[in-house]
Amino acid sequence: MLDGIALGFQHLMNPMVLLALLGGVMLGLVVGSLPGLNDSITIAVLIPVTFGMDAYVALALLCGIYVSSACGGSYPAILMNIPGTASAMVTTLDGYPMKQQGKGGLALGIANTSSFFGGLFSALCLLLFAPILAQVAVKFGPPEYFMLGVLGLATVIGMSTKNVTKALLSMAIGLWLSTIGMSPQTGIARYTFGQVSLLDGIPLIPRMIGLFGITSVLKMVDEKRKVAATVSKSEATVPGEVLQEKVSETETKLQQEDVVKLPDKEMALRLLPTWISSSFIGTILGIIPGAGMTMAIYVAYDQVQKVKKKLKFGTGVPEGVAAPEAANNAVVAGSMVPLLSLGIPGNGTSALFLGALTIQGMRTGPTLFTENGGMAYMMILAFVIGNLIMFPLGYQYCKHVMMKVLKIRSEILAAGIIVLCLTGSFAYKNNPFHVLAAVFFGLVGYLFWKYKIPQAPLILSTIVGSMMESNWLSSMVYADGSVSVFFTRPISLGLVIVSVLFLIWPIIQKIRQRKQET
Amino acid sequence: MSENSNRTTNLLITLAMPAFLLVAGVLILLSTLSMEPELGVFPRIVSILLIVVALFDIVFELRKQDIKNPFRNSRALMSMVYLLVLVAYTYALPKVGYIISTILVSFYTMYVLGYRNWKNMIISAVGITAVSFLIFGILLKVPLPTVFLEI
Repeated sequence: MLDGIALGFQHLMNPMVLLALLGGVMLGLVVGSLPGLNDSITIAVLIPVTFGMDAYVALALLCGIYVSSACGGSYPAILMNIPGTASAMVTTLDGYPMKQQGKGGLALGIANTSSFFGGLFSALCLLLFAPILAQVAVKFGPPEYFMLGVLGLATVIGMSTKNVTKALLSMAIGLWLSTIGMSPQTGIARYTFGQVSLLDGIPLIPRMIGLFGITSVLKMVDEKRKVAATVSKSEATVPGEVLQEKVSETETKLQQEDVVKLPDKEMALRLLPTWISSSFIGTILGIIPGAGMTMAIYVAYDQVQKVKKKLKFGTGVPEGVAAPEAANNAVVAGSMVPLLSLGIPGNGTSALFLGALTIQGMRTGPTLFTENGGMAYMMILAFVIGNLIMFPLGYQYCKHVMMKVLKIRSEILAAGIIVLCLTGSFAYKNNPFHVLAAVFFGLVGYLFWKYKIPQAPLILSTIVGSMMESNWLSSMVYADGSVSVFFTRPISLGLVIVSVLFLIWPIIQKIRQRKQET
Repeated sequence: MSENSNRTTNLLITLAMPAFLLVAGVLILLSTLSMEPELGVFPRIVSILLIVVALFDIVFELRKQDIKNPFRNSRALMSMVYLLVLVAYTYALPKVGYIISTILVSFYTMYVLGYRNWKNMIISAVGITAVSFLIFGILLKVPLPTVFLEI
């Protein structure tokens, strides 16, 4: 192993390889911060380009993109309430309120630092534990994957302490939406209403863009008069037009005083337990194929809520930014563990690395370490060094580029947001239908907001629903239709217990609270 | 009498969403009856869950003392008009082209949010469209429809 690490380090220290890694990190920050673009699209576009490159340069470039795009996705999530990537969805819950309170710069600093911590943590785990960790992942079969989906949903339902019924409604809608398209088992189309564009199901990127970006602009349109009405109650003699200017002046003042800053020593010590637990969660879930960043961010957020009960999450709590950001970056290196060790990608993006390595004439799996040890360890070290590069680069990017966004007038920013959303939806697959899909989900998000239905269960269930269905069917075939298969396999049973705990814990807490009050 | 009719109106609006979802759940359940077992089992489970939860939600809402109209003090109508404009944008995109459609939609967005500095609005709309076209159309080579202005 030490020989492999030394060889990998030697390859990585080649100036061209380092330059490619640096370029990849920068590109990842930029594409991550643009809604509609993400690491998967960028890597997919660049793979054919890397065919003519030196193998180490090519893979270093792609590793750099993967390392930093999750971090880049948090920037618009905080500044505009639009996640740049799906993995920044949960960051909006506390990141955007922080920005509204004039702490956008601090939120960006926390996101940057958390991403760095999570990414470095899992990269070091990848380096040290790759062979051992891969063995656990092999034991996951269809029942375990199904229960993993249940665990994810139980987590978000458990988070919705205020109105569980509405959370369940949201989850049910999401699960139905996941059935749209071709059935995973039979390949027969369901609920496509004759639309060819729906054969692959509801596309994720336009869905996210609609639920976050377009909904946020609709909220601004809806609330415009409400803002003026609130102000006019206390200053009844001031004419309407002057009131609008006063509201804008307050916003502008907050924006102008807001600067990017890294968490100070006190804040860092406060966030350290969150960073460690979230990084651990992200690494483990990254290793498990199919679990993904989405599940990691929700589990991490839920976990920190349970630990820090006194904090009002959703109102601009630093831990609400730190947890998902550490978790999503921790998934990055974690997802490479099954890919490099077993040849099984941990998620969609790591699957693209399979293609990149194949183009370079290499096979993933155990033979990669024996036949191309230098490449395997170069990639692992690229994740470590990539995170070290990402930290200062991300800080400068926030300071000199993203913070300028805060100084823009909100109406102009809204116009920019809507253009980015519409163009990003189109860019996904060059299909105007996806723009319509984004607009539709903008309406869904708006109605959910009006009826106080949480979005999180919808989002997660649309993502895991298809995976759950195919694994349910496979489990039933494997166990001849008996549901006892979920209780007789130890890992599955463990996931059942944890899921039940996540679901009933809020109820137990409420009962204990009532007992204390009486 | 007025208070009662207010409560009735609020109740009807509040129940509209769960009632819609209840009907949707029933329709989905009915659609699964004609599907093959492997195809229909998951949507069937989901539709039953949807029906049960929607019924629960309706019952909870009916038991509430204070029912608030979710659209009170809001510009819901303006929001719906704005959505229709976005839908129109989708249809105009391949016919009129990206540049003109996008300039118009960004201008309208600023207008509907109450901005009235016409010069700034025009400059911003053109600027936003230009930057977006530069990033997506030129740098990332996304084939944005440019009917009149081929570049």
